[in-house]
Amino acid sequence: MTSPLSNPRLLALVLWLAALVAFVAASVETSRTRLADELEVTGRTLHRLISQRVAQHDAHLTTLIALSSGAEPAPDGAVRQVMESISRFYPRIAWLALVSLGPEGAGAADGGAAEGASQPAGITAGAETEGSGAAQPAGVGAGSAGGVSVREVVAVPALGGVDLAPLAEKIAGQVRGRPSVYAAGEGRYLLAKRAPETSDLAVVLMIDATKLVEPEERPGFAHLVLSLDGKALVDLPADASLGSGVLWLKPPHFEKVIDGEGQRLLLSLDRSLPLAALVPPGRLLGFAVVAGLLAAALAFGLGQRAAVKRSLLAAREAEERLAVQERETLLAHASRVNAMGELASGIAHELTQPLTALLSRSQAALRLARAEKPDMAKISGALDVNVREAKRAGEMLKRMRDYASNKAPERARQDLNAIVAEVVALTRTDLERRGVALVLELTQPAPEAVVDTIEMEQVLHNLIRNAAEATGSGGVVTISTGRVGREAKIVVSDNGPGIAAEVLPKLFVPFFTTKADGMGLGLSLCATLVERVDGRIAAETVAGGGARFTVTLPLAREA
Amino acid sequence: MHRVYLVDDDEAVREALAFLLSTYGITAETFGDPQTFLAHVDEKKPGVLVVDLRMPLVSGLQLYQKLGERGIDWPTIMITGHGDVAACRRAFKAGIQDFLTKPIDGEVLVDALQQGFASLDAGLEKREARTLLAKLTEREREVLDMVARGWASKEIAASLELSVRTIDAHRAKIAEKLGTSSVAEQVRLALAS
Repeated sequence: MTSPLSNPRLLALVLWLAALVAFVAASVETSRTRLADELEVTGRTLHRLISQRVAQHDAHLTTLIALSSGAEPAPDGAVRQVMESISRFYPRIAWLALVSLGPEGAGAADGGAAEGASQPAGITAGAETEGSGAAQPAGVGAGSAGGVSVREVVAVPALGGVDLAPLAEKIAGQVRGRPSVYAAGEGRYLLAKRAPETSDLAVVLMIDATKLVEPEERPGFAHLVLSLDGKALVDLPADASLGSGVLWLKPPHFEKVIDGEGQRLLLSLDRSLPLAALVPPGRLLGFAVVAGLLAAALAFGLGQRAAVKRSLLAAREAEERLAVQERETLLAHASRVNAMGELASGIAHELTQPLTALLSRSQAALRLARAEKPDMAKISGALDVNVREAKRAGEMLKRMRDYASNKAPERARQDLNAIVAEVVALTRTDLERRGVALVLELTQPAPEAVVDTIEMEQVLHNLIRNAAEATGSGGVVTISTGRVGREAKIVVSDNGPGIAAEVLPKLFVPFFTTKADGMGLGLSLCATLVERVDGRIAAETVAGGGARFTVTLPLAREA
Repeated sequence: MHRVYLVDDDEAVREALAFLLSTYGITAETFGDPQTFLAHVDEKKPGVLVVDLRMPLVSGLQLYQKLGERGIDWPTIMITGHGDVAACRRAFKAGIQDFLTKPIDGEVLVDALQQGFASLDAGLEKREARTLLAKLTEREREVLDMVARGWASKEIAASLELSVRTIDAHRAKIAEKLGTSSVAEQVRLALAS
């Protein structure tokens, strides 16, 4: 009863909430792992695809270089044919060119010829010259930079190209047979490779990086970035409908370099973790409902158990109450049996009187009967008296037996004056022996209350005995009955020394006693017995000395 | 006719004992409490007392002692419902005739009463003898004692160095004062005192 969790409903609610939290946590963890794994798989797939495509570029370069280097002069027609075929099959290769690199003069001389075939692309490519680092204005179609000129030999498509002049020196500086990459803006980059040995030819491909990822391969759930030298070529944001991520979780990230023969591209994928993906609302709702039902069932079960427990407790309390009452009854009986010892000599005297009278009268009657002329009138008169006398003795015995009996208390409407008279009959001789006079002031008609006669006699006997002990020889004990309102009162008072003020509050406490050989149970037992029949008992010291005990009982209702 | 005075606070006991005694031809006068008896005792002729030991206010023993203070030493039989040894001892020390426990057997009571009557009678004789002997002079008492020893007048005269005539004159005086000329009667009175 101390913890609030002993309330089954509250406990169930707490358990339900805990289950929800656990579900959310577990769901977030598994979802996050699943989403990260998915991203990883997607990333690897993309990486593999892009790597293959990038590798193809190198293959094309090699093919074209091989084709153009095989004969002198270069078989432009065949090269163009292959280039057109490549361009047709691979839309991501936006432009292919076979260029010739030459010294400054040659480049300038050829520049006019090339001009007709190439269109200004409008692209300004900044190139760093070795040493000075200063930008130079780019030429159109063919040009030179840093003392190297570049001339387009074949270009497909003829009008889709860029001005290679700014890059001429760089391409010329490339290691032969190894491709190099150059950014070309708008998600495109250039891939150039010089022909082996002494040839001044080079092949340049312009790759549209955005087409390295086919539309159907694009993962809608992730933000895809393909970058070259830290600059994004392709930047595909995730579908906006997935919502923003959850702040406190590190979103899954995939990053891998595509190293395809000089084309160092970086593929990175980022995935946001929207709450809805982590904790699907439908599943949460379903779980909440199921857990709620379980919690409700638990609460109901606990409630039932508590109810059973309560009823068991109530039953046990009732049993204990009964046991206490039985013990009290036992104690009351033991106390009466104990009191019988004190009363015994008085009662023996009480019985001796009728026995004496009986014996004497019987002997007298016998003598009369044995006379020559028996006086029958006298004899029958004597026997009549004897019968009365024997009954008197029998009543006394019954009174004793009842008082010492161990029968269960039996509450019934009783005449309180009669109860007082019974007690007086039991205790009279004892009081005479103590030299204590008894005064009765019984109200008429007699008040009636629902009590057990024997127990009430016991209460009065206790009070009378205490009073007699208090006064000692020469004392007077007064017993009176009366009515006040709806209550009956039995008052036992004496002219002894009264009750000390400090003793008064403890008077009815068990085991409290002022007597040297007392148990301290008499008055507490009195209180118990009186309270059992809804009465109460009070003690006071009256002005002028002497104690007064008042037993108050509810008057029996008029029948 | 001997008298019996019965003092007991229990009416039934009183009445039954008186009834029993009546069958023996003994009349008992009954009293419910010692005070009433004390109030009237002076008017009563000597008799045997049957007293309950335990009575409210004044006990049987106290009654006996009060009577003793007044010079009334009638035989007293104490009856009690308790075979209390201490009370019994006290009673006998005080000079009680007998001590009977209730319930009392009629024969036992009557026996005790007979003894009481005897001692009452003895008491009366003793008192009578003392009264008579008190009338005698010293010389007459001396002569009576010698007569009781069985001496003849001549022997008494020789012993007292008196004449036989003088002794005879004393003996005549003694017979006159004691109211009997029977030597045996005179001797009984002399011994009873």
